[in-house]
Amino acid sequence: MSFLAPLFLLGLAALAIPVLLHLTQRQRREPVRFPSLAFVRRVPFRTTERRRIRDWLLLLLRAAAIALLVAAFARPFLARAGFGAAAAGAAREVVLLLDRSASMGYGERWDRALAAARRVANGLAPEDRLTVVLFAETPQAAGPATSDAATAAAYLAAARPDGGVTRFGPALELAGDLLEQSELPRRTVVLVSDFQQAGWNAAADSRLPVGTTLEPVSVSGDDPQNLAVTGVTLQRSPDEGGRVIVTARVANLGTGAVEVRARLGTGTQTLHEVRARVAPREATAVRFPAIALPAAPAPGWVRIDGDGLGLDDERRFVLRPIPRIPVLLVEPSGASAREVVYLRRALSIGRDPLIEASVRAAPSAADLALAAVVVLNDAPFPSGEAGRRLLRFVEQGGGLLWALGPRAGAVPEAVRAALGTAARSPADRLTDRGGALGVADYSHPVFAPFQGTRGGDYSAVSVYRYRRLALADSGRVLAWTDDGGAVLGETRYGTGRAMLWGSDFGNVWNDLPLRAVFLPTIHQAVRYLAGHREPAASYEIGNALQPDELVPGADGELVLEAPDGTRILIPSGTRAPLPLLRAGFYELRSPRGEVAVPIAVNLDPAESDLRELDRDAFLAAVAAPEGVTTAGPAGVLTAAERERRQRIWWYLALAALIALVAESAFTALRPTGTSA
Amino acid sequence: MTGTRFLDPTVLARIDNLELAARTVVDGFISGLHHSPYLGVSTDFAEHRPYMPGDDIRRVDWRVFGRTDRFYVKEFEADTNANLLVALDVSRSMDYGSGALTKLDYGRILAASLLYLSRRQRDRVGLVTFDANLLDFVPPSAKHLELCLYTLDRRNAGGRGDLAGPLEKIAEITRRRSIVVLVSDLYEDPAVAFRTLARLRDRGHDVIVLQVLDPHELEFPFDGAAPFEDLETGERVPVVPAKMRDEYRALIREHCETLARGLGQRRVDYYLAQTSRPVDFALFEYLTRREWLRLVK
Repeated sequence: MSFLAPLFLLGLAALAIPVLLHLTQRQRREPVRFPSLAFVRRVPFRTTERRRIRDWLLLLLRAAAIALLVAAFARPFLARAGFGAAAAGAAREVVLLLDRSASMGYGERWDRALAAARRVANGLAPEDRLTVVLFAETPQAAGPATSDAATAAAYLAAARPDGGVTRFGPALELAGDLLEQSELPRRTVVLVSDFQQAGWNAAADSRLPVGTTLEPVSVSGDDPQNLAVTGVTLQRSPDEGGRVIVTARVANLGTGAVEVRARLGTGTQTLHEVRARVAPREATAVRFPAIALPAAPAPGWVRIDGDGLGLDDERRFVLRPIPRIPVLLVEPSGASAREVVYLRRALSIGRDPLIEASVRAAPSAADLALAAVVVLNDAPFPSGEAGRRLLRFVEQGGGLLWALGPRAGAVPEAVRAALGTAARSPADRLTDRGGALGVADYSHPVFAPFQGTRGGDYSAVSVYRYRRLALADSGRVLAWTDDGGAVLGETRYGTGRAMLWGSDFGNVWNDLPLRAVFLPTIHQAVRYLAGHREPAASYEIGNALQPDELVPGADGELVLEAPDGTRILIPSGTRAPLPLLRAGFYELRSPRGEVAVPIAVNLDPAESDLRELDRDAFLAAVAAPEGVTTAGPAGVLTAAERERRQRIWWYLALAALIALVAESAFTALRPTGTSA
Repeated sequence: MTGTRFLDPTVLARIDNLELAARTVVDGFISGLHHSPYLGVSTDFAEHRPYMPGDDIRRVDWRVFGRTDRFYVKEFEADTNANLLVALDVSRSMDYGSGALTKLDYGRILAASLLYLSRRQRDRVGLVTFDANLLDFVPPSAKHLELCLYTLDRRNAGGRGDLAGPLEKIAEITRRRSIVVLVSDLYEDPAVAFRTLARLRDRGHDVIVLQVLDPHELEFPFDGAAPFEDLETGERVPVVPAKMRDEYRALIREHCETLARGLGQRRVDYYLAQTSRPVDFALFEYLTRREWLRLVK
């Protein structure tokens, strides 16, 4: 219920008048003249008695009369159709959007939401029709539309909050679709939710059809308090056989500072416990002592003590050993140490993944069998069988990085044919003090880390001499010099990749090794060419799982077992993404158990923030501009309906009149009491 | 207007029926039966007679000798009659009554009855009215009944009351031993009352205390919270009678009992008269009790 003239409600302060009248009535009476108060003063004085209200019925009648009059003047109206709709005789199409996101599990929100939903179901007129839609990230109708309150109650009884993230947009769109298909004259959307701030994207254009009444029902309550582990960072190092430092981000989303006890563990074992104090509306990093990395992927977790929302009190992750990328570094004979030191040093620095570089004068078959990437650092492409082995290596998935410096020589015909790449004679830019380097595509995995404005400046690199590359159509130019010559290109051969750099890494033809971008560029290139892609340490509810990323090359059928024990069979040859819908540890394994990979799934941190959105802005965005009426805070459908819902003031005024008459009668008839 | 209007015939008739018993019981009230506390010479002049040898020359009227050059001796009457001095408290607190009579009215009738009865016994009667001060003083005399009644009639309630000061003045101005009847509501510290009344007693006066109280002062039957105003001081106090009734009753009862006990110990006669009772009944009751006390003594 709302009021058209709520300022009149200030008149409720007048309720104090009859109370004060009752309390002070005795004080306003004529004083009782008494010979001497000597003995009266000697009796202990009791003030409470003076304030005790007598004649409760009289007081209640007066207070009721005032309250009813004030309420009548405030012009109350019913926000919900209720009996008014039944009286109207017009059938309604009602869509009940029931938020079942993870945040609805906080405190008693879900109980309140169910109660509100049941009220909607019970308020249906026989000709009304109700569709219950449960939504979190995606909306889903609980069943066909029904006019039967019992059926709707059954839908609600089966509903449970899941771990999803609140998204109002899709739910409103589905409600709009359902209403547009309805032939009933009146349309209502009842939105029962905690109206979480993170659930609404103001930029989204989710509007209800014209003529729809939106009734928001908030179950958020006041001042929610929540602590959450919103993230975990794993810092691995190869020292001592592999160790990892786990740092958890603990956020205090409430309004009071909290002392937090955070525990780190793997499996069922708690390894470390750290306490920290978190200020309100802030987050702190909880750093645990280093622990040993497992030899195989193993589940780990960080937990804090439980609170109102338990789903975000634990952050799960998978600990994996540090991956290794074996690199075969081929250097030309006769190269000075000054020329090769830059690349050697760059390859020796990588720790996660660990780059293991082996320097050879020529790649042997055994070397290639162990290597993931071959780097020809200004060395000529091997000739003969060695060259063919190297091409096969690439063809079978290996990576090749060839720096075509002064000693590299020409590109052999076989290589040109296989890789579709040629290199012209060196172009000299000494006369104009070198050409600048320009990256062609920052979206390429090698250059993606440098996309930001401060991510790296390749234009500062001076290229004094280079071989202009000529790539086949299948090839891709990654970098140019400022005179338009392609200096870095990529091509695919078989399942492998090859990158050709038309200059050197020895600070002879260019000064790239002296630039800050050199080291990360080499590391990115090696990772890319090795096909290095480490699975995520954890996923969030609603993410899709790509089985191939976890079990590359597994052709047989796989089984995905959810935290609740349900199993999904992934047939051989079918590798469609699978949604992860439950928080906890999934396991992806082969039927016989040869492969078993844990998968950590957590609640989206956005769901941990329980703050409520600006309801007015939300309703305005949903309703604007074509006249969706929002009920609850304000507004109704039609003038007739509005008039019907405001009619209640007549009854209030009549009740006030009756109360006043009764008060007068009671005052006249009541005994006046003794003489004092 | 005279004070005779106070003399209710019914009251006096009732008292008359007791006259015979009272004459034998009440010391000082009934002429001829009591022993005058001041044996010897009366000051009420009756007649002159010629001097006879043996007469006390102090009784020669020298003014008559100066006019007639003969010796005449003054004759005085009723040597055995006593002085009755009624001290009536007319303070503001006496101007209270829940019934037909205020305490002051009741005290007036009571005082007039006593004066009249005494005068009928040929006692000398006098009157004092007081609040915190002496307001009227009619010295005891065989001829002062009318004056006393007149004074009683015209006297209205005064201001704040006090017992010690007026009684001390009475003690000073009443040299002849008398029967002093104090009519008051006695809102006074009992210790003060004891001290001042004992002083009167010590001077040879026979002291009788008639405490006049309204039934509401004893029962405190009020209901409903209300401010109570002190008649004498004007002070107002919020009072919840229902909550304090029992304690008030206990206090006033204790006060009266303290007075009765303390005055008895000091050989001061005490009687509590409630204005709800008829005046004649109060007199009858008092006199009956006084007779019993005399028998006990």
